Amino acid sequence: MERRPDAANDDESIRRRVCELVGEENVAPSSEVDAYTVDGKIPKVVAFPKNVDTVSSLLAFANKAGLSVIPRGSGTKMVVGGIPKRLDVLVSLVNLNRIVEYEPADLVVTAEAGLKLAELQKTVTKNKQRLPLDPPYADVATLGGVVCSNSSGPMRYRFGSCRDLLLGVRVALPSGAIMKSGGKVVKNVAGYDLKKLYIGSLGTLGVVTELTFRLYPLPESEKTFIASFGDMKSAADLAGRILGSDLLPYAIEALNPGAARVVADETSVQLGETSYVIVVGFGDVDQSVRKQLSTTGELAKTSGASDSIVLDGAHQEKVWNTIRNVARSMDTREPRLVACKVNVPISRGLEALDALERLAARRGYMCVASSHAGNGLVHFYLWAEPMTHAAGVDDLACVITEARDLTSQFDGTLIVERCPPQIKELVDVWGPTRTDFQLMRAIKSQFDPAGMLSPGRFVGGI
Amino acid sequence: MIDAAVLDELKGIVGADGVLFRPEDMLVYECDGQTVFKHTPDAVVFPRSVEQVSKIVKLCAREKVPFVARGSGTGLSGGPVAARGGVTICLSRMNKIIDADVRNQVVVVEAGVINTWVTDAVSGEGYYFAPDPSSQPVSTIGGNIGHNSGGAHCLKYGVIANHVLGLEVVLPSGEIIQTGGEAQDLPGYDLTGLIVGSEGTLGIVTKAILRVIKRPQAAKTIMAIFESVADASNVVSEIIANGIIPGAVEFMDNLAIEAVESSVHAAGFPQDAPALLLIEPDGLSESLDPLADRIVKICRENRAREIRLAQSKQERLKWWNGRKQAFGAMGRLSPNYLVLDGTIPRSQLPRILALIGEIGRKYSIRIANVFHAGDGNLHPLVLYDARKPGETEKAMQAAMEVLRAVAEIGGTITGEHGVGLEKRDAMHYIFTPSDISVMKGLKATFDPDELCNPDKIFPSEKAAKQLSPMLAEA
Repeated sequence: MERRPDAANDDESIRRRVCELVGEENVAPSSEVDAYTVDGKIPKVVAFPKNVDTVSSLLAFANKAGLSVIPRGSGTKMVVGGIPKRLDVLVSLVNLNRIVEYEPADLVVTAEAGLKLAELQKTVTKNKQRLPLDPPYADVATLGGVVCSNSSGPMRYRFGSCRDLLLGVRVALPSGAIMKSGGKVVKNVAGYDLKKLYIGSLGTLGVVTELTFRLYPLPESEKTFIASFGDMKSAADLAGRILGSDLLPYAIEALNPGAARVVADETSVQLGETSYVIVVGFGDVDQSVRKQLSTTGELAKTSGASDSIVLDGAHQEKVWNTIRNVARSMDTREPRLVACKVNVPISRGLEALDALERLAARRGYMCVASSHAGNGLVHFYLWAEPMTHAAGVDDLACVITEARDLTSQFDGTLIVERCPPQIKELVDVWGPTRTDFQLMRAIKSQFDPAGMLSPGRFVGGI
Repeated sequence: MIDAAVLDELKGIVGADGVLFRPEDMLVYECDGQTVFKHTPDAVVFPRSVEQVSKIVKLCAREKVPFVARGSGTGLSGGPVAARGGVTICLSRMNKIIDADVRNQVVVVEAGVINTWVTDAVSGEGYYFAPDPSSQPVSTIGGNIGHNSGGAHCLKYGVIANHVLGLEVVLPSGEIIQTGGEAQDLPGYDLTGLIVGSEGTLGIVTKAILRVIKRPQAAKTIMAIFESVADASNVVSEIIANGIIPGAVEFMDNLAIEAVESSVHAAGFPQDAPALLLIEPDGLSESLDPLADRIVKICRENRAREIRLAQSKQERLKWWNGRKQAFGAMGRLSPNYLVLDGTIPRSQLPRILALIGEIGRKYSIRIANVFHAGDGNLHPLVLYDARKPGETEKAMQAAMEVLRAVAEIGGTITGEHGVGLEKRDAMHYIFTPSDISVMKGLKATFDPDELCNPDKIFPSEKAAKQLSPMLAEA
């Protein structure tokens, strides 16, 4: 049927066409599309395709019709990135939620992108295995979302992040072609490692529909050591001692007093009122875990810990879960929260945390901060106490810029992961681009010549 | 052939002592460790800095002269062969360790640095660089990065991509860029991850920021001898199924053992053994006794004929040396051999070994097996005598059949040696034409004039033509 081009792109005909492609029952009612707004941009239509072929035909249609598409999982990371330039079709992957292949003996699992990480864990736990990715929102976040936002948690100290755990992907490209990269083996150098491009790419190069991960066996024993300190310097001293030792922790997390209070509030574990806290996770055969706990106890004393405890079972699970989700409890408490992720060389992480905390205090902001102390990553959350501070958008933007300057003194970068959209108009959430940016843009043009995928959300306006 | 003016310009960039061009000097550079594919470059240049590399590349781009980066030439897939002649850029003089900083767990090196030097730079402080391809005493970091080489410890410690944080790269335009950096998760696409393993076809890596880690406090090395290949491969699967990830699990079959034992690297492996495993749990010393006990128990349950524990560091090193020299030792059994490099899902070990045996019988050709069993990375060695007419072709055919079998059971055609020239026609076994066209598109984005290590990775036109009728039928 011939359509006039102008008529073809009115909202109703887009909607009708999408319904034809994915089935009406898999398209959100018009009254519900508001719930899928991204930084103020309301999608014209929200589709829930059920298989990769439908995703592919949706993309091919959108491409031809000149429509923009943003893929989405459970939506926990939609706040990340720049304000999208356009949003016509939002493609939710939540109906692609099967485990495709799981061979416990190979420690490898393949699943569709919309499967929740928690569901995957439930399956593999039955074989005493796990995917050692422990990002925030792990209970609701989808595999595709975790990978495309390169989300991670404290366990990355030992097991690495998505780039270390992802073995393969299947991707629907804007042309509608379906591409495979990688495979289901740990060692693989056949062809270009395109899957790496998709990690953290925020839906700008294609829609990831299927992912293959390597798994690890659950250890015989897991325990958690927690020590409190009167100041950051002593806490950093313990982290440094652990890093320089023979110990093999899973995770080394540092919390400032604000973060420690969040953990104390949400668990029954008391960490000291105004303390800096180091939390260390261990997992190995029982003998080794016991030995490591006693060694860490001694190191903590040397570093001047005021207090220390060892947790196991449900207690430790609760504590780690809270630590992972510090951001989340902030999100719900503070609508005008600014969340930043700071990346610096490993040894400078806690120095940077300290400096950022001082900056916040100097500018009259509340600050919760935590660090994957063995990775040089700091998450920090800023907000104004409404009673004492007007928290103008301009002032917040100014503080972010100062924090970014501060971070560069530590040879690092700062990404704003969450903030009100008005701030995104004042500050580039990704920060300045580098010498590799032209190449990134060329790659984007190759994969998405029309610029239809998540336009504007990524680095440098990609 | 490049003309005299270009040669003069090259000399102007790197100095007259940095350019080789006489035909007799080119012979050394006509191939790598895979000696079937040969082509001489027109000139070999030895730059000393990234600026020189950039100038050389800009000159080649201007003159439309193909160029290829080369390290120590230990590759096993023909990667640094100057397939269209042109300029070979040998990075062996860019061999400085720029920074060794254990507090930040990084070592920054130029691409021509030898793999083991990285560990040497930090071993005093108890750190090491985990990727350990067997060639590590001679191969360069640049070459290791090009092939994403890992070695024996990849199941536990990952491949080199997991240990490279950032790169300095000279793009095919001559532009110098930095990717990644000391800090993790830098914003933007992971170009570091993309360039690692791209076999020098997207640019020339001149510098790398490498991650070093604490050396495990202790390791125990167990040698277990089996009456059958099947028993040995079951043991590998059962160890993993029991939740144990040893630092390394290495497998050698009888032919491989025989080769090592008849060479100067004889390690005391029993010559009549049908199969042997070297299993090495590592970690905290407290964990090793329980882990070793469990591993020994699994070996016993699978009818191990003999189990030995390395009694000293010397004995451990002797066993490892025997294993790592296995390729070279093949010279004792056969004048020529092809080394394959497929990786399979570990649970398929018994099946693939049976299939390889069948292929050997079908072609009446001996195939030795020595491989990284923990991560499923096979290294079948196809033995042949190039002096006999038709033997090389037969060996290549058998090799391709092994790769096809690997692909059919869900594996990949190369784990760490690269596709190079050798395996490009096997790319169709694992990728669809559409997958390959995306990769080709990427190549064109980086290198529109196809000058940067041309003719590698992608299927030759001949293979593509052969494939089209097959696809038409399907």
